[in-house]
Amino acid sequence: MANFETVMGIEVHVELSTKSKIFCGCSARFGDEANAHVCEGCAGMPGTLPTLNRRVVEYAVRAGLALNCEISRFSRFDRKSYFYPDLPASYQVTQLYHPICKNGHLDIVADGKTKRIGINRIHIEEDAGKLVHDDWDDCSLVDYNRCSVPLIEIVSEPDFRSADEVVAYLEKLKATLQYLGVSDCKMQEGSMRADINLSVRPVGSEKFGVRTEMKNMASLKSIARAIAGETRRHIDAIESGETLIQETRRWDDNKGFSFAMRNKENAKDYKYFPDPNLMPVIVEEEYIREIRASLPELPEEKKARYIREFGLPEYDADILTGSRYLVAVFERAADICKNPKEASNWVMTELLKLLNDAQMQPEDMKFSPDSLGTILNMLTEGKINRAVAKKTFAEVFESDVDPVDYVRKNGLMQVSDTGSIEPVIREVLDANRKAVSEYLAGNEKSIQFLIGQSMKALRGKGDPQVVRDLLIKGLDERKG
Amino acid sequence: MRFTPEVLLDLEEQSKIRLSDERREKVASEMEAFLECVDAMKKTDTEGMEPLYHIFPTTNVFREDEVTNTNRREELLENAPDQKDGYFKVPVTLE
Repeated sequence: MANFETVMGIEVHVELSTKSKIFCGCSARFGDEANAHVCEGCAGMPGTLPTLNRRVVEYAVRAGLALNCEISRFSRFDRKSYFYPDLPASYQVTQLYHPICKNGHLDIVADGKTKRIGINRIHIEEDAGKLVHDDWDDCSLVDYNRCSVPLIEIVSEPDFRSADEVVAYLEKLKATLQYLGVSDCKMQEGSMRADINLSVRPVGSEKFGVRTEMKNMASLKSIARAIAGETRRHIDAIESGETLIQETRRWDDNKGFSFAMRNKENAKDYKYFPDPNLMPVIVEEEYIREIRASLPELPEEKKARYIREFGLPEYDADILTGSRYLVAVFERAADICKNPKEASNWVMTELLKLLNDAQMQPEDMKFSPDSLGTILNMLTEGKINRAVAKKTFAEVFESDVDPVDYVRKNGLMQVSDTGSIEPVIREVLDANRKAVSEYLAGNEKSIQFLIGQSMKALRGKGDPQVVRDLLIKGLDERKG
Repeated sequence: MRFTPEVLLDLEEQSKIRLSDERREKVASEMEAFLECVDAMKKTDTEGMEPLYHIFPTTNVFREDEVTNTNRREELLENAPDQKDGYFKVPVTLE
């Protein structure tokens, strides 16, 4: 078992965040009622003509430049034929022979080492519709909303040797594409999908083993499980002398096993040929220069700058820059409160905890980007205490309340004037004689209990420092 | 003979058509004639020539990224052989 090596290459399909579809003026939006965004063109009816969405080329070039690719001056489209109801034209428009980007790479960090992953090509293509199986009526139902939504397919070289490397690559790719604004990369919604080509060979062997392709993994975790499961299947087959077949398989995450796909994926002949309805795309040097100039600061540069300029620990900088959505919250908060370290700490502890508790991804956050900075300012100015700040932020995260309004309406302003706190302290000391005498007998810990009681009486709004000072003063007075 | 019964059957399957036995022989000889044309073309010297993908010299035909279509679901579904709950209804298809 220890003498085998897994070799993998990845094909990543990413839906581009355009407003409209690739060849027609239908909306490309996800999640609307079935077939709300369908016209004669994307329904594959005869006599319609496609016109390429300009932004698709722009986004593909942006992605290509960020992934260190050569941009093809000349690219064009081919038809890939297969017969399946999710594809009403019975062909998919793609770029087999002249893809828009070639020969790129992405550096990843996995198992503590930096590794360069080669990118063979990036091509433009269209997505297919969605099939729903209706067991009740014993039929299949088709929704063409996704049909002709623009995609780019990013094809890596067979450079991966472990599931950790694959996961690191997908995370880096996702962060990069999100920074570029070309895709939201939501694996759960299918706007980022990874197919894994996997083979196994004895360590030291130059020759690749028989390769299978795996589809249908909806999360990074299921990808890691699929790699482990498929590797085991290959090794078992090799060790027991069975013949592996080159084929496409569907990963079943519940059963923890992959199953051969029967239909479209194993079609023997896609009959590729140039699409006569689509004109070639010529990209000028000037256009490439303009797009290169418009690229945003990418994760690696940003991480280095956070460490250098803000003095953030490397680990924190790495997590923050792993998602442009965390970056957006952090940078806005740091800008408003002028304290990047404090802003980073709040994102790293409070925000990540809230996301984790709600089982949410950073891209699903809905609150106003200004809110965290506003809360931190109220905290620094002593208008609220830390506990209230946390509570307010949780409320912001949950329902996007305005933090200033929320604090005012709920009367959560910090009470720090001694005139309001002193009477409360007196009552607490009178009501808790046991704790008082313990403290006076030398058990200093019982002051914590008295602070807790005082804060409770002040409904959590007391300034902890003032409360503590006044308690000590009150206790001292009772010594004699 | 390049169009053996096996090749023809495979082509029928891929083209989603079914030929009768008597047609099959005729089609095979017609296809053979096509292939002879292709054979003749293959003999042409194309060294150093750029392939022509389109008969028009046009490139970069674009539209702007704007949503110009509205929801016409009922109208589109009228063209479907069958429909159910706003979906196109097709025979059971499993992946």
